[in-house]
Amino acid sequence: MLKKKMYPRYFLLLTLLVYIVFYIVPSLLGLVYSFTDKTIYSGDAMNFVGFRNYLQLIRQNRFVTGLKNTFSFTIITMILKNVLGFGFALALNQKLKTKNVLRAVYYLPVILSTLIVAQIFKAMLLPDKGIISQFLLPFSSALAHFDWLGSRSTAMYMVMIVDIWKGAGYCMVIYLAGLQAVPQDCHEAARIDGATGWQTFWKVTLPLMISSVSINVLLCVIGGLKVFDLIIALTNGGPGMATQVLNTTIYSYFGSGALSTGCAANVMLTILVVICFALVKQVFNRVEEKTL
Amino acid sequence: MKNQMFKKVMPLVISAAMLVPAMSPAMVMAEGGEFAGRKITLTTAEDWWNDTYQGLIDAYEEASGVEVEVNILPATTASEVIKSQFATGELADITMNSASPSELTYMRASETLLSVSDQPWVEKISDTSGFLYFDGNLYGLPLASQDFWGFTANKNVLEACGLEVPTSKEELVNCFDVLLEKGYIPFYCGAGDSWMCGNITSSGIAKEMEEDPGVVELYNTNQRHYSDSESFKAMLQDVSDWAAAGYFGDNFMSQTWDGMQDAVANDECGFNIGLTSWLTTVDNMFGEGTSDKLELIPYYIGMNDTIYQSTCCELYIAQNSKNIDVCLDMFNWLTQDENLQRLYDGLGALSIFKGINSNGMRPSTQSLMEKLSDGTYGLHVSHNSVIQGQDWDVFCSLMQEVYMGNMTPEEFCEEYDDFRYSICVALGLEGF
Repeated sequence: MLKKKMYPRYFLLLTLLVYIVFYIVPSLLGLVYSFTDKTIYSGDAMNFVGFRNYLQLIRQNRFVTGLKNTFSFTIITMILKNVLGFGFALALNQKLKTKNVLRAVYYLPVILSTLIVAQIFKAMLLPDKGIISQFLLPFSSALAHFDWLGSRSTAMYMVMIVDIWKGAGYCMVIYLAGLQAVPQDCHEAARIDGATGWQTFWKVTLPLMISSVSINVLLCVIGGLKVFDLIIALTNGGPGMATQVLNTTIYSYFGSGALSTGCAANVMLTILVVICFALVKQVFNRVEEKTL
Repeated sequence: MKNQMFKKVMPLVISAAMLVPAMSPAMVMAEGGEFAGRKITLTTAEDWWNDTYQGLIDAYEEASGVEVEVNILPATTASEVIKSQFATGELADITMNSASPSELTYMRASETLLSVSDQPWVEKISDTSGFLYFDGNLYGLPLASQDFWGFTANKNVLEACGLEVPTSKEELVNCFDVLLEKGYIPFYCGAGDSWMCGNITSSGIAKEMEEDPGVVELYNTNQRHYSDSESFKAMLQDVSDWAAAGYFGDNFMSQTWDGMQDAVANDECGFNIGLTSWLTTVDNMFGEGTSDKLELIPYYIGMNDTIYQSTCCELYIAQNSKNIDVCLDMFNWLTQDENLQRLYDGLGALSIFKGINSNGMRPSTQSLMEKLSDGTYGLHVSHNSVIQGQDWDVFCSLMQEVYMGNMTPEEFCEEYDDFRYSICVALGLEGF
């Protein structure tokens, strides 16, 4: 009889060590620092200050604005990335001659570096000179002259559009994989029963795709709450605080030397991500239980 | 026999010949100074670096055989990147930064920078600002111009509108109205970048300092705050009002360098913020004499009517650098009279070194110098260079809210005072 081969447990040690040194220890240190007055100027000296840093953060308009913007960014991009991704997946799940090319085209933005994407869009959105302004010029000189990234009313929407453009392809791939796993006989049975296209989608396809929707929504929520590089490269949080999110706020605290305040903000962000993750997961678990 | 010798010798000759080009740089370097073959790194930003600096560094490389790797950071992110480098201690051998340690407290000069107080070139410095020394030490080589900043009036545009160069805030605002009516951008403002956004506030507490020089100490000991300053709030109110009135044009949240140079050269705007060395830049970009149409006038904003005397860019050597000897050698070479002369001629601005008078000063700069000498114009120093605990990026993001009318001067002051308080606590300043 062939014995089941077991690898020795010490094989785990190296991985565990790396994980502890580079993830667990810094996280714990961050948690400890958040209850102290440690700064980049204070060297090894630090005093316990309780929840002072947390209370200071909650009072600050900068942090509250960052929190609000993070939520609106997360919710809007999550919805639109999923709707578009699902739409692309449905469209490209048909028998098209060009489907492989189109899949590659829709997925292309995902593989581009965020910083490069930001630079490209910055150039495209320049007032008067950008390609979008040039395109708008024949229709309206006012629109061509408009500073899309420099205006309070549009800056956040522009950042969201870029994020959706970059992320919808990723959702599409997960939905495509899900669609291909949906048994064809379910669709055929629905068709025989006289279901319309919309009814088939709503009653058959979507319930069978809940696990894909769940994964995509969770990934989009986590990514949205943690957004940083796109905003830093595209608007640097501006104009004013229009595109300031939690991570850019944390960055500004660290930048000014207030390590403990930055750590407190980071702890709050982590807690927020965990809570949102748990909530979304719970909702989808219930939906899955109902549909299956 | 002959053939065999030939076969043996020829490969050797060929290989030796092939090695010559590869060895030649080392041979050339060997002709340089005692540090030939060594390499140092220099970090700077595209706003602060120009052909004159690069030319001088190239000449030093040639003379010494030292390789200087210049890392030029993008203007938009330079201050954040340099701040991060100071926070982590991962500094280049030499860092060029925009101001002195007293202004940029995050540099933690005594911990991170090499004091150069005892270097032979220090006695050549003629410091009129008083900003260079920090804790009694000189930490940087102030190898930049002693710049003077003002609102820059475009005389061509004003003449086309039948206007005179203003001599007061009232006259300036009157010019704005006429320029707006005639279709010009009254005051070109690129508040998208911190340089322009914050610079306009330099005179915020000038009036207070004029009345009581001891007021700075009150700010630095938590006895006075921006929200207590009427002159600061008056300046913010003007910024907000001018933006609302359209004096800054439609797209005042743009990046300065995206359009300001063209707008000035093409006579599209009546005023902008300029500085003496920038006049040389304009001439270099658009042709000799372009800057003759420009006149630097005081910052007529809030309660102020003076010219802004800025601190200047300095080169700092990292304390933990392994190439301190090479860096000091470069500083000594750069501060030789002929090299300083070459630098200031290229910059076309006032020198901070004794006996070095720039031959490249533009007529507009000379005219300003005369007005400063005869007392027509007074001088102010920027509030952020004397009041400790600044974070320029946060300051400017809040200023942008004022520009957009989304924050009142009072709200700005309260919020910035609060943020500054946490920095002052971090710095361990007395009273916070």
